[in-house]
Amino acid sequence: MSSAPHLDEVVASDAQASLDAPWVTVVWNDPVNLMTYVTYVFETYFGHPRQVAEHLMRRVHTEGRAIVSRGTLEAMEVDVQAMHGYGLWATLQSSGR
Amino acid sequence: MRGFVARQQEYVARLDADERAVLAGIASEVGVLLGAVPFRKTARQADAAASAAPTPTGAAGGQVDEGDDEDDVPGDLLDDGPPLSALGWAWQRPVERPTDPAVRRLLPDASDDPEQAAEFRRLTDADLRERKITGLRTWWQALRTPGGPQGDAVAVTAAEAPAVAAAMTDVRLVLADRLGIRTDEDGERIYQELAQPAPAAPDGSDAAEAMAVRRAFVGVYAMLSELQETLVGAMLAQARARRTSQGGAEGGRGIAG
Repeated sequence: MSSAPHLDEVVASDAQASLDAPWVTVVWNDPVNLMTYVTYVFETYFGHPRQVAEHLMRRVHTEGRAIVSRGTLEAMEVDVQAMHGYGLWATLQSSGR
Repeated sequence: MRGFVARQQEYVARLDADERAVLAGIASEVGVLLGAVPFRKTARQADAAASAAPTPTGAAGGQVDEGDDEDDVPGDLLDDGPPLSALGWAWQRPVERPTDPAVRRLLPDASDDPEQAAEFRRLTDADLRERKITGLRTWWQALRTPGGPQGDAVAVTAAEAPAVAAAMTDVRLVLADRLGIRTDEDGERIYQELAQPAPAAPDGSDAAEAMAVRRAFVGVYAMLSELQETLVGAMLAQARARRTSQGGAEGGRGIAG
């Protein structure tokens, strides 16, 4: 008897998570965009509450990048294009990386 | 200059004639970098078209510049005729990665996988350029039509504000590239440059001339930073007030895995 999940189950659930959201949108820091503006974009485009938007903005600023959305490749292409429209530097990445 | 404040359905800043002219000129230049005809010229053509009936209406809603005077169309996207995007086949061609680093920052690679980045560019380049040019033109138009008792009030409607805020970012990104702002520290140092006393009257040397030009561009960059900060601050305050009045924020999209 074991309470720990079997290795196969762990692998299966990881695989499931990556099937649900196989891609991410990453926003990168730049020296030009204002903190207010980045927060505005995260709040109004993604609909994040103020605290989440500000947290993500600070993460971009201090760590150089932050994952701002997850989903299918098609959905992430829409998000990255929107970020470029706002003048934010964003890229697509496979969430497996 | 006085930054933006919210007034009913719009945001209003106060800018004197010199400030408006410099900002409008740079907005148009960034538009040209993205493939537009200089805005002043398009406005003249629109005036001419308006006075000569019937007015032709472009399939793309007249948002893409298409000058007849090809000589004056640097980096034009179009060979001639209607915009390729309107014909629906621009996306079938590969789109070159911009060589100008400033334009590459406005239209960056969307992936570190070159193939994926090229595919993304092919699909989105025309739309992004068009969207950015439209925002720049909206900002340019606001600068060209001041109002108010002193004739120095530059107004942006609530509907125009997001595109204008994005246009301000695009102009600041281009200026930052030309000013060599690469790091956060560079970005902060730029404001200190302005705090230094202005150098003595240019002595006519190339170095003095270059310094004066740089100082002027730093001034424009700083002015745009304040305009954008005040505009976006006012927009954000209103967006939050709207959210609160709608019964509080429901969570946005999940980002946690």
